[in-house]
Amino acid sequence: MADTLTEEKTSTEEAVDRPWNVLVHNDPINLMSYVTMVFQRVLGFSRQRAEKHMMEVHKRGRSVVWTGEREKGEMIVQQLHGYLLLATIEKD
Amino acid sequence: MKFFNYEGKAAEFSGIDPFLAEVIRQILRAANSEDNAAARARIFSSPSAENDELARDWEELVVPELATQFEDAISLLETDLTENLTMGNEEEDFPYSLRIPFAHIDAWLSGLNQARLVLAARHDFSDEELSGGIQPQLASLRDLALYQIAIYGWMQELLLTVLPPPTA
Repeated sequence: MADTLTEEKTSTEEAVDRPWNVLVHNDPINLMSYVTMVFQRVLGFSRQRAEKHMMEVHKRGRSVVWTGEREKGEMIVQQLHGYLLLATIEKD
Repeated sequence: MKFFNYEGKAAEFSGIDPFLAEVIRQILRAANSEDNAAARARIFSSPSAENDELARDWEELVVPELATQFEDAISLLETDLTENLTMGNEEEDFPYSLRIPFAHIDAWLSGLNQARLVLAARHDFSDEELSGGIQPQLASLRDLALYQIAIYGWMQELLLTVLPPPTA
């Protein structure tokens, strides 16, 4: 019985704590150099990391650029929208 | 057209012909998404495809902030176009120059991006059309819009080269 309760509690905690992903989606207008600059500014990426995610967006259509709590994720999406990037937040 | 760093204070485009000067002035009109639903939807894109509540809250709380931010950028462009898009010797073929203070470059990147996104959404260009580069002949408003997208993108590329490296 004790084991069952522990499992239920753990399962609930995992559901609540499941992280949120911020995704950036490809669009044919935003310049590669511009997207790289935005990733560096908003997400604090190094140039190399920013270019890696930019290329992932370009080639695969989207890239998960951040994972964590919802509130912080929404702030990041707002910043990315401020730069006119196509960004969404989704539960992991 | 030439592009250079003006005394470490501004980015300057020079050697601009009258037609290109008018294309640059048209950024303000091109960036306006008010009368086109597709353009507005692209400028104020949804933060989630699967969470309607978040999308509704976003429209109510975040979109007005973003709208103000975008309008502020356009206001700075308007100022620069009024004060800093100047004509030198009118007898020259390329008499115009545009000086953009470094402090305004972010606003220009935003304004140019707004204009490109609105034009692309308004005309529903395909990826193939958008990757076609600058059109040799402008036979329609659609051709002109593609030309504007290419020129504004080229200006963005050049302005990015004079930005200081981002600090994390």
